[in-house]
Amino acid sequence: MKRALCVYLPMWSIDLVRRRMVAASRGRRDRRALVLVETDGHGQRVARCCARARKAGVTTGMTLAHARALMPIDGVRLEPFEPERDDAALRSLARWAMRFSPVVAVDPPDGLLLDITGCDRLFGGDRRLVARVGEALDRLGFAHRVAAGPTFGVAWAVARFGGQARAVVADDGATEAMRPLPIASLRVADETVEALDEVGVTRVGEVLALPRSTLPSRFGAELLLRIDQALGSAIETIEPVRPSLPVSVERVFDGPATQAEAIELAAHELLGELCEKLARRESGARRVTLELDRSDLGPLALTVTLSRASRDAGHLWALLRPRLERADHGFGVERVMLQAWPIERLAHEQISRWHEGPRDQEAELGRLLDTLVNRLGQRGVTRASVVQTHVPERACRRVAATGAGTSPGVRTDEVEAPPRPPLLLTPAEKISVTALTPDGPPRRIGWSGGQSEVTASLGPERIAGEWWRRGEPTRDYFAVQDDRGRWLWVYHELETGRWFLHGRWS
Amino acid sequence: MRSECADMEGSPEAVRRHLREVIRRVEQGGSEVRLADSCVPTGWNAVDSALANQGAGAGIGGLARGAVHEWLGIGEHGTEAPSERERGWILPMSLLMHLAARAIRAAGEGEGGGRAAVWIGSRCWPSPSSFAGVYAELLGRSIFLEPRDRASRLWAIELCLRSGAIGVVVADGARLGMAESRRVQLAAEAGLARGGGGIGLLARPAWECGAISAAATRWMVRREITPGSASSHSPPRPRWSIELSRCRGSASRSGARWVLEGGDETGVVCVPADVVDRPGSAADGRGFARSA
Repeated sequence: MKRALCVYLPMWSIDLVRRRMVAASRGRRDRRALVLVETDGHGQRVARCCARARKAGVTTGMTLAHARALMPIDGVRLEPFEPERDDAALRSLARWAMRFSPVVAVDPPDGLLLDITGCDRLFGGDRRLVARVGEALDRLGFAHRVAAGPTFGVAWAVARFGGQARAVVADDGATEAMRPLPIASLRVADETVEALDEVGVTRVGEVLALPRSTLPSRFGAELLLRIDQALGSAIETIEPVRPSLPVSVERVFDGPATQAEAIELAAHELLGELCEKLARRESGARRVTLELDRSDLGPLALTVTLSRASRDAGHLWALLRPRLERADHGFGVERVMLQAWPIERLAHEQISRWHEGPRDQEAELGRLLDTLVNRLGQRGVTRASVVQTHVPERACRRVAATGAGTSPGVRTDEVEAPPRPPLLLTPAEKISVTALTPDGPPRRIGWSGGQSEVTASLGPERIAGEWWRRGEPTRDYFAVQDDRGRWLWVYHELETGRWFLHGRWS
Repeated sequence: MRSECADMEGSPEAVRRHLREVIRRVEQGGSEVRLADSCVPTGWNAVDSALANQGAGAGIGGLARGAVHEWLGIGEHGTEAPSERERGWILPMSLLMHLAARAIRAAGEGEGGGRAAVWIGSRCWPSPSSFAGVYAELLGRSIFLEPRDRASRLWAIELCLRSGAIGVVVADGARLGMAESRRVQLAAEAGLARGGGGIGLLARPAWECGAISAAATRWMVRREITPGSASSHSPPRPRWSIELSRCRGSASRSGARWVLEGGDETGVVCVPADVVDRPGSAADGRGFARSA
């Protein structure tokens, strides 16, 4: 016997926005009235409003100015109305509701339909199930009305137009439950409702009293279909949401496997199956995890992260195999599982044997970076980007090579800085300098390369520290050539008078 | 291919040579990507003309693609100072940056997308602030690797050379044995066959000049003194003399020397032999190199 459950969320958009506001303000509740505004060609109109605004007289479709006039000045909070976001949230709620039934469909804009045939045994009866759904929605903070019935039509109608917030309609009580409800509860078009209203038919009971054969010709075929669906004579199906599950394959051994070759062979075959599954879904994996259940130790997880979604078994094996070889099998491995999560859509491509374009090169570079990162670690493979600062040792920043934003910064200084040496010493080396004047260019330098006579010097270039950092000295930089042909970049700290060697050209 | 033949004016011999090249590539399974040159021109005319006729390309010479070139330096002017070994060695970084920029640019011609430059070993990393001006594009394409040990370093060099997406690999090649350098050279050739065509630049300390290796060319870099006193506003102009101490396949070219000077807007320039010793040479009339 089919059973259906309908959840109606009358304040869905309002509740969602309130939740977001509470989360954004870290738990502080805003007690003001909330009105959601949508902007169309005619101006700004009220799309949804909360209970408090409704009490003040605000209705849907009213202009914003009118609504503002009805509400106190500082007592209303205005937020934009985002129907797509609310629909996406409703789909998430549908996935959440899969704990009550495996078949859950979204009933836009603010409802859920669940097929609970046989689920009542898990919850101890329909009443308990309805109560549980209600309590869960209470905990989430959504205003709701829940109804269970023998068909989707009855459940929908009772949830929206019935007298109680939580109702259960028995299998044979569908007709009785529907009788007092208005025509709109049959889910027919507005024109049909108006047409029936013209002839004085306002309740479902009155429609049921009319002869069946006259209904299609006078009010359209939809009315008859809806009546039949509500009373159970016609079939109604819903389109359930599908949860996104990670793609995984596993193999259980007949006892702990101790041979490394056996485990490697199993992992290799599983990888082939996984890539086939991904190909069927037309997706690629961004991260692949190989889990080994060891009999004495805990499970071991080896993860390979990719810079680009891939379902190339050869590439994945090249990344996975070194990790597997180094893994500790313990006393033996009982189960090998391979899971790909998260996955991304990766369309099928025509493989071109001969032409290698720039996109192929990018893919090739991505694979190369994956292999390098796999062995050298994320910190071992970096790019550099220029930071907007004139202080030389901070003028660059290392970023992971596979991360986003790998384009180097561009210096937009108005003054072009003199060229910097390609080799910077960190930290700068303290040297002893003899100069004609205390601030002047050096004449003789004593450093780790010995004593050098300076034959040419360029500068000075003054680089002051950043004013928001305290204690940074002002430096005068000189580029000097010594008698052996070495070009050094030395600086002189103005405050302390010390000399340092910061870089070299040769 | 028809358009390419139409572009080639001149003898049927040239057309035949080109067709043979295409057939060879198709048979070997390489890609259709036509590299602008089979070698990377260094930008130093004297050096390029000496290196010409090295590869299959006609005309401009340069560092051969799909090969490893060793750069030993920087040595002292004249004899080697023994205490240099304890202090650690200084790489000819400006020269390597100049060559890397040429390799990237040469790879990008005609295809619209350049290839990456990889710097392996933290000793080989130039400081990013020195990538201003002509090297700005190089910074965008550079990837810096830090291998933990020697085996990882060799593995990374081989992997990058063998892949088709890398234009130039600048690596720390100190203490490389003969077998290892041969493996690296083979990896570079394999990369060329796959359509990659990157060059490897191995930096080695100057005191390893006695080590044998399988690299295609070996260059010794020595420091030279820049004559004359530059004005206090022009950029520093370090000078080096490079010597092609070993060139595989041609003994006659070994021993040739050139003088290079850095600090120019275009990178490193070659100083002609007759103006080497004139004071202020190659810097005359430049003055404010960064004005405008």
